[in-house]
Amino acid sequence: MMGRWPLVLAVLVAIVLAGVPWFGNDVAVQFGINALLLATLAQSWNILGGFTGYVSFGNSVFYGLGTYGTAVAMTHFNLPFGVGLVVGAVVAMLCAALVGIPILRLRGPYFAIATLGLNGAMAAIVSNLPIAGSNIGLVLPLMRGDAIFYELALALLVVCTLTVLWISSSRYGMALVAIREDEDAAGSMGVNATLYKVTALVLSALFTAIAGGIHAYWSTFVDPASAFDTTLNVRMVIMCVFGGPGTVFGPVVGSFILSAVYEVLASEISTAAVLFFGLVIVLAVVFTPKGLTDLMAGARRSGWRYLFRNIRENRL
Amino acid sequence: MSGDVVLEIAGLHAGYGAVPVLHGIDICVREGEIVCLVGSNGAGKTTLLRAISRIIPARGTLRFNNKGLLPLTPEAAFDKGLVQVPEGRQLFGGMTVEENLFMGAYRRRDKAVAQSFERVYALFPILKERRRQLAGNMSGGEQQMCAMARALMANPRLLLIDEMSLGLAPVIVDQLLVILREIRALGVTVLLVEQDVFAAFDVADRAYVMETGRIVREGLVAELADDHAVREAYLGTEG
Repeated sequence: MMGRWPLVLAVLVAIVLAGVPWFGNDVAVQFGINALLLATLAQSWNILGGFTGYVSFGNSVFYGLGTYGTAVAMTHFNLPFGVGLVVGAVVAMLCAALVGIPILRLRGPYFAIATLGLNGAMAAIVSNLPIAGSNIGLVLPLMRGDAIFYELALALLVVCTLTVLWISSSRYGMALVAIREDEDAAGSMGVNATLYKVTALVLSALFTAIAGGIHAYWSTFVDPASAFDTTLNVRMVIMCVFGGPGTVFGPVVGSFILSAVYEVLASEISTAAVLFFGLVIVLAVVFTPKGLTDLMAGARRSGWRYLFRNIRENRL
Repeated sequence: MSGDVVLEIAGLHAGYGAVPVLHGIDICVREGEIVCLVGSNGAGKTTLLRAISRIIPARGTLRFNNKGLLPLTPEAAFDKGLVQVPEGRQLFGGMTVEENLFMGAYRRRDKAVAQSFERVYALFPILKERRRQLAGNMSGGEQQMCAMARALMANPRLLLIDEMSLGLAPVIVDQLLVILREIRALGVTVLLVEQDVFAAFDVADRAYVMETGRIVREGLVAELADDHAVREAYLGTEG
């Protein structure tokens, strides 16, 4: 399916990105940490959303559980950061399995609505847990060293993308795509759809939670409102869909571009940035509804006409 | 044409929730046969197929190769060689023809999958030409061929085909009937569910006629085609 050059290019980009803390300034590194973590979130969302077509708004719950798991383990039990990440990831994966088994039986919009409710429920629970600092939140021990967080975030994104690369070329991934294309038919070919969907959600929760844990230690503070934030989940969806859902590099490219666009807008016109950011997304949906990766393939095939054919085909 | 009994159904009852649909069905399919099940809309044909595939609960006798099917899950029944070509094709539209065929062999663990590809490409040469094309972009006839090929990739012992001719041009249906005979020659037994009685009688050895959840006629196709009631109800020709 995929040629050799995207892989070579991706390795080169990863090497260049790994060098940023040595030759970039502090602003670039801090922007990089955010962008890399967001790209990881979009890529994790891609595992379920892109391959099986199940639109989850529950991924921000896994993110929140990752931040709180890490924070509680480090502040109350004085455990090292690495153990905290594992605690957060295990809690999030358990939650994904427990929640996934009942609600992955719902399809389409019903599944999306069911996951949407999870954020509020989880924020309410955490706000009332003394061990999680109730509604005030937790302060983590301070560690200076943006470069370490940067390299951690980059490593996580690389591992997550390698996982998606494996999925896209495996029997497992083909079953996920078959579920997206026609779940009943996949079932009648002997694919245990529930098992595949739940494992995809659990895998998605793993990377999402680790990204949350890294962000918690870096920002040294967690509170219920920012940990279980639906708008963060919406950003995952937008970045993944903008780049190309169900592809290996689409979500990463999509989130890098959107992070950069937002950063430029925020520094140039500050107050109206969100407005223009919305405009960029509307234009993207109109002209390249299947994402940037489809835009590249389509432009090679039919040039600029590709953009206008999308308008016609999607009756916009 | 009288091999071992592959599928034995006796006194089978099934339905949806509290609504019974099948009221004691008796059917028997022997090795190497093409048996057709005809009947109008709402007779319960698709319900019967769903019961055989273990998608809906049922009670009565349901045996496949002399082993009871009723306790099995749909996946386990599939693994035993009971494979369905669903009504309306249900192809994976966004996947290529080749990927669709691969999905048919998804549960197989043996090494002979490559030979199965050769076998179905020999039966359906058009699919070999189109193997890199998206299944959703093909014509209805080609899609039906792809659905049948996908089912064959699972190495079925009994192929259950639901409404093969639905929405297809007569010339395409004739081609499919020829291929159905070739499939039988490969040692696959076929249970064909059809509304198009002409097409079904053209290819089948024996037929069952179903009305409101019961089998009302059965016998060799040649005999049934001469049956006055069948002619009147399904072939639309008097005397």
